[in-house]
Amino acid sequence: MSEWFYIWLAFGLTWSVVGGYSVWLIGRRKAATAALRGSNGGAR
Amino acid sequence: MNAEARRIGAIVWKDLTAERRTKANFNAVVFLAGLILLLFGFAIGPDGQTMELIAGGVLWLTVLFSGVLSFNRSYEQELENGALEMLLLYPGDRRSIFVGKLLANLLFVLLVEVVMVPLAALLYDLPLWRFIAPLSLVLLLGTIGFVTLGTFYAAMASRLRAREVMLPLLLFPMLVPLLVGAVQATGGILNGDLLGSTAAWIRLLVVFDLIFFVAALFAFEYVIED
Amino acid sequence: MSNGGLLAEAHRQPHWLAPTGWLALVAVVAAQVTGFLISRPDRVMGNLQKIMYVHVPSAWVAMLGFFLVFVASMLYLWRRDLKYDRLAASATEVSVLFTGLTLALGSIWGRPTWGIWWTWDPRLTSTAIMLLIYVGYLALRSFTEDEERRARWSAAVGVLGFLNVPIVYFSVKWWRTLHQVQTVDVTGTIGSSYAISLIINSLAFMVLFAWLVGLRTHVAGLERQREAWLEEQALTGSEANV
Repeated sequence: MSEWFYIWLAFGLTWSVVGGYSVWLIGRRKAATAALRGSNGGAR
Repeated sequence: MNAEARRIGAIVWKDLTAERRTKANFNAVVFLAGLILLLFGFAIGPDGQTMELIAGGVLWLTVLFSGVLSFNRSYEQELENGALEMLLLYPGDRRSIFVGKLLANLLFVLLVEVVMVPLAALLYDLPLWRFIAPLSLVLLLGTIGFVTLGTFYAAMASRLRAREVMLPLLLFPMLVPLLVGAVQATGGILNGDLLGSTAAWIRLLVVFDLIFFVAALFAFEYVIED
Repeated sequence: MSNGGLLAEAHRQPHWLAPTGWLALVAVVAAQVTGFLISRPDRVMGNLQKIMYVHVPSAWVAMLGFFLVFVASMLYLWRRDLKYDRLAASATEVSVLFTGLTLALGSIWGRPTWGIWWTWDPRLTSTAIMLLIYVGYLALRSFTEDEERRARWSAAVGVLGFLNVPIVYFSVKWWRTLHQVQTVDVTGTIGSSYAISLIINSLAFMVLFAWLVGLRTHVAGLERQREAWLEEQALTGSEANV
């Protein structure tokens, strides 16, 4: 295994994990905001 | 101050004299400790030299694995018949409750060790009696830290359905410095090295015990109220 | 309930969050690219040293995060405002993520360097213990349903856990210096472009961390609002419009 394999592994792991978590959070924010708008938007 | 001491004494007494439960439990824990010592022997032996090398580690892991079973139990009484609410109704510090339970648990674990340590010395051929004084000191210091944090985390874990998993999960990572210090000090003493690094490890144990006694004392009231 | 307008306001994320997010993106890309392309292969570590540009900032940010958990936990115990609890829990979640990453990266660096995935290096070992302490925090939360109790208990665990950080670190270090051991040593080249790149990347990761924690906390707040509303609906028995 050349050292570049490990370097790419390291950076790939880092950014897929951070990226994945960010995307997941953004999705959750979207869902939560929609749920709230749904609950209260129509409330009198 | 006197009233405080009396409250603490009352709690120690109450916890230790849940007669039926305590005695049965003590026997069970002692036998379990013996069993663990044997199991380690089977897992790591039979070479006598290897066993001597790891004796300190085996000893302390046995204390931890058998002792951890006693902490949740110290809250069982209160949980069962709503006695916790009653206990909390009495005037006086939550801290007395903590110190009382801590002392009761300490006594319990120390008594287990009184049986277990000579057994370990037998099984692993340890020069116990030659170094009984410094060893007792290390055992006491290590047990104090163990019981302090055990009593603290059990206040929470005992109220969860997953209590058997949660207590070790919360407690054991916190005990790493204590485990390391106690094992190193024990190993050092058993090798006859009573100065230098052994003293440093004992200092670590003292610092650990102090810091977490104070911290747990401070945090206990947040953990015990309902 | 006719405060749809008020609630719409509450739905919005803190005004600093979006700019921070964009800044984080720019900063991280710039820092990473700079570090990756510009620094020359280290004499000893070769190109592998580049892994430090993710490993060191991750470790730094995780440590900062646990300090934040400590502060937020104390604030909760003092003020009893659940927003501090949400902040503490969010910071723990993000820090646990970066701690896990730190360990994985340390291992990835170690494998080609020392030939093995794990060497009980004192800093990595301490990091592993911290990971377990805060995973315990998250596990405790998942088993505690009452939100006030969960906040109190988490805060207690968060405070004690952080107190142990220096103790764990020093005891493991003493433990390991009794025997010769390979360590992840990055301090040999202070002042070089390598060190400067490390600092720049660490700063960029801090901005990223701030964004992630801010977003996570905001989401927690939204979800709690939703739950509170649902509870109220259930209690009053009124029909939801959705």
